[in-house]
Amino acid sequence: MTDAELVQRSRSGDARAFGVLVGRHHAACWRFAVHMLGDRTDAEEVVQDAFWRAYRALERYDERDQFRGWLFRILTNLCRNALTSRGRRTRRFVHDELAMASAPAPAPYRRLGVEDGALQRALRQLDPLQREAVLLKYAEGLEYGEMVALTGVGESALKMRVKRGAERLRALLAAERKGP
Amino acid sequence: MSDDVFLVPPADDAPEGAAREAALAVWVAAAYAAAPVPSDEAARACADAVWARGQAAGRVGDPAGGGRWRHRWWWGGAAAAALFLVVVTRPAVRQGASGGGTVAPGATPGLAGVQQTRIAVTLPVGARTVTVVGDFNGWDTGATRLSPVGDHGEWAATVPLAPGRHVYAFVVDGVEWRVDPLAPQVPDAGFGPANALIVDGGP
Repeated sequence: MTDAELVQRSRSGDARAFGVLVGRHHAACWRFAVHMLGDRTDAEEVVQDAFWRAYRALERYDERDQFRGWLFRILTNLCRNALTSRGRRTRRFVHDELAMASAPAPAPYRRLGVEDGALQRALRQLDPLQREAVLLKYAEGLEYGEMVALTGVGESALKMRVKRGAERLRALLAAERKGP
Repeated sequence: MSDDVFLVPPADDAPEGAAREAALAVWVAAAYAAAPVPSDEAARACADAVWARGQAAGRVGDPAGGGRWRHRWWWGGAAAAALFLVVVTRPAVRQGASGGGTVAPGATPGLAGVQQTRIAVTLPVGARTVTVVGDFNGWDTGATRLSPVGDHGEWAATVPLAPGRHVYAFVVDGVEWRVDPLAPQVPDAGFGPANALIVDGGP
């Protein structure tokens, strides 16, 4: 069943269809959000919000568009908003000693994950708009035309962001490769 | 070629021009694709949470045009307010002390399998405010406040939860994110320090 058919069924109140739709795109959205935001909790929050906003706007979804592109347009906007508002928030995790002592295994959220990866570390040091452009181009494999439609930014500006982002990323990765 | 080859960052002496860009693109794409992602269960929980939120807003099953949405959203707000009144005026059922008994689904299912679920935590005395954040309220630190119960540091709230797995944490005095040591914690690819619970039911 195509995404457009699932959207139709979701509009008619088919929870299972909506679940399938979310299942198809959840991992891709989460992967993009966590690389954009560098934080799993923020990514989870933004992804759920993206699906919620998509759900609310299902009636306005034009089936001539790719659902994933439409969803990513919502998601990229929310990622930008999250990055903008992050400075206003004070979120501090307290690692409860009792919780740690009573956990049956080392805290699972400390396992090696994307936050520990070279890509994540390098991306965090990019300008957010360059990060977005690099991810859409290299990681998501979009054409510039698709990126224009998704971001609303001109092609030449996007090409410049990708070029400068790639240069910076290469330098950061090279520095990490050499070590301190 | 193994994934390990791709997971080595490209060298800075890679060839110039298009080949150099292509090498970077391949590495970024491979590292990106290799990043762990949440389980299918997490996707289901996300879908359930969004769907339940839509149900609470009176959206499901009515293919109304987008122009009517704003109107219906206010109806949803009124419904949510009514639901809140029900929640705060009906004593919640609490399960036995096994595992701390910090989460207890209510006996009466709500809308389409949504369960009124009591979430409680005991903290050192002195907290001024405690809220619960989770996938069910968009991780909004101000959305769901807990009320003090007795004078031994227990705080509790009852929240409507759709069937499925939910991840949550507590926020003390608006800044300190804490987990309940007596409740199950998020397994595997977690999203930060958090507890997890499963609400039974549903179709």
